[in-house]
Amino acid sequence: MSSSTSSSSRSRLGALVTQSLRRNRAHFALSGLGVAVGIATLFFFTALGEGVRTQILERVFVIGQLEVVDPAAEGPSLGGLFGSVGGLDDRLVQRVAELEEVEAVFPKQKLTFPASARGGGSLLGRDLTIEFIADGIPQDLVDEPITDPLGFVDHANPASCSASSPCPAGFQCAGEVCEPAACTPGEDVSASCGAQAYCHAQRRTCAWPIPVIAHPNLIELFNGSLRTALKGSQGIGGQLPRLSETMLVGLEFDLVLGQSFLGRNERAARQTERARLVGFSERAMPMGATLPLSVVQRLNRRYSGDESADTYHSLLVEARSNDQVAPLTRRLTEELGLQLSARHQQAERIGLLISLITLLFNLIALIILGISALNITHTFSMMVLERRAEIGLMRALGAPRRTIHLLVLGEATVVALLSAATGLMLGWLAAYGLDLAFNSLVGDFPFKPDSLFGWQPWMAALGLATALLFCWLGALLPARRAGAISPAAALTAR
Amino acid sequence: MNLVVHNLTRQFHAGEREVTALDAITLTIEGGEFVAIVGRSGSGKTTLLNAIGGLDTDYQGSVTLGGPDAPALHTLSERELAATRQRHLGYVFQQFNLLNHLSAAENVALPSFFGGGLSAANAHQRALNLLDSVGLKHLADARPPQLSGGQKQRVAIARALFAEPDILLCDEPTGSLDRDTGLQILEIFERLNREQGITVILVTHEQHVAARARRRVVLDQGKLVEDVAQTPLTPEVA
Repeated sequence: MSSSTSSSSRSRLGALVTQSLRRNRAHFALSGLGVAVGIATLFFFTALGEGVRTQILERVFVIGQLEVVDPAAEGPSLGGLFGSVGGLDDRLVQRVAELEEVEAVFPKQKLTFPASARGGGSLLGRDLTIEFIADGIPQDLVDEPITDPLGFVDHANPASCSASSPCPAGFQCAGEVCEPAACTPGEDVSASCGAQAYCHAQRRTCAWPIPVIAHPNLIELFNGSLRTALKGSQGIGGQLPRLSETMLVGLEFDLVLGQSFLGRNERAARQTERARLVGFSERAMPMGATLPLSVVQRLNRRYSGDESADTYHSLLVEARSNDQVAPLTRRLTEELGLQLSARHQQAERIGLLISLITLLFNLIALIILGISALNITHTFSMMVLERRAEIGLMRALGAPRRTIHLLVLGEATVVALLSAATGLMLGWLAAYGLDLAFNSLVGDFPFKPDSLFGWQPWMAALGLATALLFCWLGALLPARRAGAISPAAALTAR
Repeated sequence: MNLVVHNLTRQFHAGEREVTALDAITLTIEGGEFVAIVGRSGSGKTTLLNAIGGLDTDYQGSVTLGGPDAPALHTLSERELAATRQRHLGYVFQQFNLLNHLSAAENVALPSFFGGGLSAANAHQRALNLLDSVGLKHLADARPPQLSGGQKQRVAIARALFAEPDILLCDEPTGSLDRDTGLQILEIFERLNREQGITVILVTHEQHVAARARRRVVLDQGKLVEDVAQTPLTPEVA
């Protein structure tokens, strides 16, 4: 008979572990209870931390990229090593893009002149006029699909033309540049100007609505705060409908450029353009509207001059990987003298706070698990003592010390697996209960999430690994004691 | 398989006092012998058996199993010693040492849990055969608390035989049994010795049990005081 530890022997050892567990159910259940509570606590708070982090940092704040601004906007010079460059212009964009940690750079520019928007009558029953605050971003920054046929595209951007390369529909070739074709207001211009165009009343040329995207949080804000606050009040405020993205996409409104409630532009005459909401994107301005960058640059050039059109207000910098964010931040701030946007700094602070709170609760969970491990040590030690003769017999029958170690650690493994499963279930049930209470007892508010918890598969793996770690730690000493039992002493003790 | 005990001395500490349990024992047991080790309580019988069985290696001198080139037990690694115990030695104890949560068949098959490579089904079949050989196949599923003392000891013998040992080490195997049941157990040992050539080394303080062996080794205060061949008595005479 071979003494080598075959797989058959290992599976037979597994059967012995099962029998032992069955025999000492109560002891093992008590040992496992503490571990299960610890795992439940760990799982609950890790998921809660992850959920809060996701809600706050990915919905309220946009992370995943760095947004840097020119500190000169608040001070006299750019500073740092950048020397002669006087602001966030194309040279700086190029220089940032060449950094090895950078995947892409997206410049952003705000409207730098007063403007207002008027419309919404089809939804609200009466047109509203509001200040129009907007910025411009490159079209390829928008990840979300734009379903409106107009698209997030600057249709009025002049293109070059020649005899062999004619202008698209709605344009005519003037010299070597495409200019909007003439049209007659009130007539059907779909054939001459194209399906998405209209005839501009003052200019009497083909024109295209300015495509606008908005941040989805604005709908949250409207439905969660404004609509709730005005519910039941006099006027249109009391009858505001609950809005959705589907209802709003395709909504057209007028943009009054060069004049708003707060001021009037002296450089160029007031002008009205048609705009259309073409979609929603997380990349859009959180409290305002977002247009294609080339539209904003063209408008800024007309109303604020060339310098305003050629200088960006911030750069959205995407790192090649998450690991690169920290070194990239250092290079952007220390080498190029840029600074993180206030919003990003705030997100960093909140992220740190959430991490600290999660860490604190996870420490509590680890303390519970540590106490459970001590409990396991105690219980397993008692059981080893009770089974001294049995272990001595096993050794007399040919079990080496290692087999005895494996037997005890095998029992600890089963306790860990069952405790982890119980703990994960308890944690999930507690989270489910809290979500249920949160959704039924707490009213609507902006950014209210469907669930406070962020479940990830690695959390279950973490729970399992932690349970195994603490159970093995707890059983290690008893296993060594069991292996050290002298068969002669154990079997001859009467 | 020969067993050679050479100049074996075993001392224990009793507080500050040192007690000599075995004092320079030298002994050779040939394969196939039936030896009774006798002596009064505290004479060192069980200590000698533990040393012979590799359950205790903390002694001076040597114990060797096998031919002249075989290594002494105390020089083996813990793993090698465990393997030697499993391959060559079977143990029968006075208190049976059966595991109450296992059935009789599972107790018999217990050595298979620690090696040997037998599948569960094969181990169970082998356990049933061994139980059959000691007349207990019908009680294969019974748990030890459901068995009489004699039945328990027969289960323990079947377990000792599971790995087909060369030497059977029996420590007061009839000590917890009435005289008639004890004699039945002795008959099993005799049969195993006679028919299978298994070496039986039996520790006892009962003279009628020792009388069934073909060789008698007497210990007194840790010393070997007598080592004689004898004609075993039949059960009727004993």
